[in-house]
Amino acid sequence: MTSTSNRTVVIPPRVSIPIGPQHPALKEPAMFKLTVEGELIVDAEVNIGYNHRGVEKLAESNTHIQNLYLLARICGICSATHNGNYAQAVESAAEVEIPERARYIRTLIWELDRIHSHILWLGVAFHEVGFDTAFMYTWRDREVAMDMLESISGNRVHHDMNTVGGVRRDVPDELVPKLLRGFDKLKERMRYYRDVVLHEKTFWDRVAGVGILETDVAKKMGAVGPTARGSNVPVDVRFNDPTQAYVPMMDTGDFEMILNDRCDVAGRTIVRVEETIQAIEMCSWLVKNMPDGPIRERVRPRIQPNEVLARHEAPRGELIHYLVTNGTDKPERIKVRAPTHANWVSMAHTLKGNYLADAPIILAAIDPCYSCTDRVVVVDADEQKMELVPLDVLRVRANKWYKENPRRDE
Amino acid sequence: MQAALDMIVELLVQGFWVLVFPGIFFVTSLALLWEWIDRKVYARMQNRVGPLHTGWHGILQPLMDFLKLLSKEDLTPKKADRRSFAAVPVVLLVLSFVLCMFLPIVDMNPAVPGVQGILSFEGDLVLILFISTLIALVIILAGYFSSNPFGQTGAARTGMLLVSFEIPLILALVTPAFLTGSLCVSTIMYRLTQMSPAYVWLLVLPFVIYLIASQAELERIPFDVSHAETEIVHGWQVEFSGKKLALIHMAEDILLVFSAGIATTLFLGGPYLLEFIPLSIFSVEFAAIAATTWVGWVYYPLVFMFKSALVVVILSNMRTLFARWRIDQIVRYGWKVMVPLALLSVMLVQVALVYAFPLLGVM
Repeated sequence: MTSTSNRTVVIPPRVSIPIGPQHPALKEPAMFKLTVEGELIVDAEVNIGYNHRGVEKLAESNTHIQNLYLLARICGICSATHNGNYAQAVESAAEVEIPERARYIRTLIWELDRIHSHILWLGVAFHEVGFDTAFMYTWRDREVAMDMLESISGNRVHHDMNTVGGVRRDVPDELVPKLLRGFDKLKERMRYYRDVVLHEKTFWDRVAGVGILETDVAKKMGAVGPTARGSNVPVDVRFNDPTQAYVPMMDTGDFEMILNDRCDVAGRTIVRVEETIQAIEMCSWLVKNMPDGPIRERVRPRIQPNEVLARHEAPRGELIHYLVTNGTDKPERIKVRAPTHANWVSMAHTLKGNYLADAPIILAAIDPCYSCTDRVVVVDADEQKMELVPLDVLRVRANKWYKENPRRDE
Repeated sequence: MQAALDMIVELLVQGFWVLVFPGIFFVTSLALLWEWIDRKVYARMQNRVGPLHTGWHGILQPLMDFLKLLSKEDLTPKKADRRSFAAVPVVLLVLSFVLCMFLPIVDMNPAVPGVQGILSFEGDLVLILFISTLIALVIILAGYFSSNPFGQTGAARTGMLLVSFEIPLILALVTPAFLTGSLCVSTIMYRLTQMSPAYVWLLVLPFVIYLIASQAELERIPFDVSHAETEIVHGWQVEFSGKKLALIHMAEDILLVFSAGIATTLFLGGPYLLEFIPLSIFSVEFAAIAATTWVGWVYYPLVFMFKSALVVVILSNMRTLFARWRIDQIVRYGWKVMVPLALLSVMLVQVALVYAFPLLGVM
């Protein structure tokens, strides 16, 4: 006889599956410890910090011109954003205005960078759900954007177009028809991929309803970029706080911020694909309306003491460079807040309750860029031990330390 | 004396059949060739070039990959069950070879009408189905023997996948058996070729179901959840390396040969092609020549390879078209669509056989 009181509840065995530090789904090292019951993720632990390179410390001993090239190498995919945003920061610290044509060229490089970065992401997303054919196709068409960047800047990956006071190279007039042809081709291809995303059932089934990040959670966790806009949070520096050639571009009123209220991976995908098409339109607007004039303003190497917070909408979200200058040709302090860093916070929440099979695409959906993000490994030389400090502990410690040691005398 | 000599010659001939042609050596070569076709078609459809440098258009690349893997370091995880772990690739390879022995490629027994496989007896269709289920079991065990969380997850997924797709596969394969009233692969094939062309229509739906189900059996996109290298790093294969991995890959290629071969045999008319032309020079005289002389030893394998290659191309094409499904989606799709569809097709065949065809006067 069995009574209802001693009915046993069968709990599926919990298995802890490590994704990373080396894992085929991850292109860079990071560690996600997923606790799964069967196929369901019940707990997720995000553990980053395998790729810290000390760029900020190094930047303090370099001149501003050297830093342009150093910061471009923070990230291989969005190199133009770090490069351009730092140039923008130094210019505002020096309080100089750069020529109008330089603004347009800088913005053009930024938008081209966004195009190739988003297409790259789309390919990775296709690959994560096992749709390798579309992955190969998207990366083939990404070459169009890469070729355009190469013909403008001379480099495929690290464009290094910006300098303090303008840009290094001009866009020659004979290049303009070639660029416009490239934009037309890209636009046609991107419309095709939008159809693939929306109508290919096997892909759509893998992204729809997966990795839900509700609007209020996204706001609370401070998500940025397409991750936030895919959750219907209207944050886009290009529209909220335009700089450079975004100012006249937004004045035309032809462009609107792309938002999606699906709050899942599908929403993020749609936002990125639509944004790519919009970026192509922005690029052709920039090329068509580019004013004549000089491309560079001479800026003295010593920058007066100043404190600047430069914002720019990188492909992955809002990028912040906090720059303190001290009257020499080197920065006093440069702090980089890369967009991926802001998006990590919501990751554990997004992963929970999904299937293990969804983990790669959810991780990929914020377009993580670990090398922009990784912060600190504390190495204690006296005790010969290495300690990986998680973000929250680090924050607590940092606050405590700054309370005890005020950094600058006010 | 004469009897002993005859026996030795007989043994040698049979050994040649089993080991060289149309046995192990032939099947292995076909496996490597099919892998090349699969990779090349897959690559060309993705706008890549695929294997290129080894041999003509990279035709020897699968062989080179196999040889290279053989020379690689062979590691066994500490926690794994040593013997069972080492046995898995061998068992897989042997089972897949046994399966291929049933394929009628060349006429092994001229006394019986029609092309016979090396192994052929009444009821071998049941044995084939049993062995293919056994292979699924070995794969699940392989995952558990490796005692790796990825391997175990992969094994659990393989189990769920195969449970969902064995039934449609079996139901699709028994349709030709219903039509011909036999359970012997060779007999089914021979009788199908003798039947009225009206019966072809009954085989269309089972053929489609078979192709989808065999894509799932072979764990290829969109059913490759049990490999899924972006999620669980090749699942049950994750701990296998060196020789063991080489043997597993070979076994998978041979299973591709078998799947394409069974599709050819039971749905596409086996190694007959010119015989279907309704002219007496082809359907009577040429058929007799091919069936009785050495011509059959060249003609039948070539036709078999041609038709199987077509099936392989279809399977590769399916691989390019889709993304990977999640396991819960696959299981839902398997039970809600594939199984009812397979049952429906069996019912349709029965209705057609018992009621419709006699009414229409089709014999």
